Amino acid sequence: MAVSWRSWLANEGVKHLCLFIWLSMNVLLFWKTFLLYNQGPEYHYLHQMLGLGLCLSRASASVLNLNCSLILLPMCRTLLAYLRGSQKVPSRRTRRLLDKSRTFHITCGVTICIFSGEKNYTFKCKHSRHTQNDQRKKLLFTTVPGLTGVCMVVVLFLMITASTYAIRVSNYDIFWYTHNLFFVFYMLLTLHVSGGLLKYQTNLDTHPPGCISLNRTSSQNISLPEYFSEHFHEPFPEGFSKPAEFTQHKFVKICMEEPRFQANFPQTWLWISGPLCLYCAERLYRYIRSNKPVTIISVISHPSDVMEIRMVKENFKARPGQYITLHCPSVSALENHPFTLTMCPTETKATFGVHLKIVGDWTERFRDLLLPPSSQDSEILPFIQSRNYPKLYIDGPFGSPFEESLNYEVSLCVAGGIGVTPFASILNTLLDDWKPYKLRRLYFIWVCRDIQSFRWFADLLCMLHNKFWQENRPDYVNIQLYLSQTDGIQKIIGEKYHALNSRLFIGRPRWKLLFDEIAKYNRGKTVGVFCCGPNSLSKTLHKLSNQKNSYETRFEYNKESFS
Amino acid sequence: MGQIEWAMWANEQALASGLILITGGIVATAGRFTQWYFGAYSIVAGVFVCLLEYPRGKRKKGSTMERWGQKYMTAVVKLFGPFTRNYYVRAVLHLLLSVPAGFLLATILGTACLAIASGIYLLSQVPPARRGDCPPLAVRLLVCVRGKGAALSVHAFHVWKWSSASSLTDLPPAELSFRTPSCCQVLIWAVALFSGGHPRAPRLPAAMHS
Repeated sequence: MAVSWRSWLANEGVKHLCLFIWLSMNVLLFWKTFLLYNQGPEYHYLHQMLGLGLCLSRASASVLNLNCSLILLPMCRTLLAYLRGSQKVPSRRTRRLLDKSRTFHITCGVTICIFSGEKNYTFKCKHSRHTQNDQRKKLLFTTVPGLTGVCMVVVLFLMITASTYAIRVSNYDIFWYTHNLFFVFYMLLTLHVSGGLLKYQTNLDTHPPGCISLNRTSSQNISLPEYFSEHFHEPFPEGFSKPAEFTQHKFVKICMEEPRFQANFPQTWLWISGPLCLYCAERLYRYIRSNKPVTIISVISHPSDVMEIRMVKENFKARPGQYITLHCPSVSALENHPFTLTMCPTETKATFGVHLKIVGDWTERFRDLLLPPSSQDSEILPFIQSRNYPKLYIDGPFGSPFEESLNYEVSLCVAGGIGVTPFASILNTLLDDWKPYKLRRLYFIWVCRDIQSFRWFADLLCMLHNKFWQENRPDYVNIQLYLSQTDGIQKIIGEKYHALNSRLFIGRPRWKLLFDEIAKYNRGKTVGVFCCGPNSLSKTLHKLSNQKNSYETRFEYNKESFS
Repeated sequence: MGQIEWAMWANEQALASGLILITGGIVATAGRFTQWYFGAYSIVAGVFVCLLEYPRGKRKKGSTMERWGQKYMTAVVKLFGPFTRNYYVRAVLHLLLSVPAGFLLATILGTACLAIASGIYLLSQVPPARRGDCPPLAVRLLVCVRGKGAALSVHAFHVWKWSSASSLTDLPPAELSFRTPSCCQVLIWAVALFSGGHPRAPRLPAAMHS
């Protein structure tokens, strides 16, 4: 099927443009620094000494400066959540860029890895020209820049090997704990550049590079060998002391004095100080904000291993679609786990809630603490047990692309299994009041394997359906439920859910037909597509969003990158 | 800390170390460094390590993401029997392979990385387990850290339980406990204090989590 260029530009254009800008900045910085060290008069002698390795190494360092500063910015989640919600970023296109923050972080990380490797090898090459192996090892392990450089490469190695896709998918803990070594990396980086090993010439006017000294003989080259012997323990190479070289030039520059050298100011400090301070400030703010525990109001057990927790916290505000992280010291002192809010606090009601699916050891232990085994089958926990709830801390709320679904006139929300949670908060918000938002039509597709899973939000869906029928807006929400696997026995959700039973289909959705139908009934409009589910589903929808349709309808695909 | 498969991380590290050794060896040999023969050794050792570590070990729980084309290498690795299946042997082998490369500056990074991978393989082997049928299987280490809120006092770890490699290895589950050094505890507390951020569940919506 042909790709619609309009849709492709809307979906991919801004992302690729930003990538191009970032790439251009890197190339420009690399080239500019390379030329500076290759041709700049203040580095003339240094270049003569160290050769091409110096230029490559310094150019890599400047690219590293840029990326080490940029890599922190996508991780300022509170700041990004603020930008998403504030009026300061009015354009939806710009807000959609924030969805790609993790991808940008990974891109910068890979670049840091590549250029650190290049800097490491060009360092060894440039110093191999004039020093012996043992001297180089001494330089590496006894100077501050050398030692910190080695440590940084080792830290980077640990971080990179634990950040591969396979490790993140299978052992997220290894990734999370090693990634916190970034702080060590930045501290070492700060020390690494303070060594002042490479110097530039300060007195270019009185000693232009390549000038000859009238009083100088071959045995009186005192200043340059001094510089050499200070750092490299070798006599000055013979290349400069031949006056015959200069007799071919028309103008011969005369040295007024010996060259003087001074260490460069560590530019890295200027690059990384801003983002590092910003990131540290954000972490401090998040720590202070999450220090107060929440009050758990109720714990509800749902079918198919899902538990709902409703809680309150003072001054907690969240928008629909945002997520929080839960930290329960009684379960694990170190782990924080993110969960999308299924119910947000409103002006009238301060309660908010999350739905958790019990799939791993943390959620299992958490459930055992909240719901004693005897009452795990019943639906609502008796109030008398509330005093035994463990202390629970939350951090957030953090933004996600699902917040945008209320800002489109028409939205298509596709949920796979427990991926319905971000949309549940949207539906709760619409149930409360739908008029303030731009959204006028919502297509809600929910695909589940087990029919009992629909009962998580069956009440909510029915209430919403009834509300819009009462308000004479029956086309506002279009619900379609799909049961992808069936044993053929149970075909209805529950007898009281008439509206949902009539909208229940057996089998997987036929996405092409669905997209065509939505395009036909919303001609010329921009439809926001939101997907929360397996990767394969997401890829299918992404591809369909870029395809052409004969109704001039544009589908904008919004997705958050997990891992 | 939950269930961590250290051997999987060691495998990634060893593979990366092999590549670093090859690169360092090429730089040393092509750059005609003094003692360039160590560079040549480094290339050979790097290639060997890469081939050995290319097949990714099978996880005990959950699906294993196999590397592209790894079945061919798995057949070769299987031929060497216990010498390649046993993680202790791998740890010692990597340590020995890394030593000669440490004599040359260009390859010293490969030495450090391979030595770290060797250490992680050793860590994954407490208690000792061997791989079953290829693709190999990993030992599960379950550690539970008992912290007391913001208290900075040092507590000892208790390993609650071990799980054996798999039914294929005929090893019964073993109960074992040991005291980890207090420096590990301090490191864990530092991570706890600092990691106020959050991990995101891989490949799953935010509400679905382990």
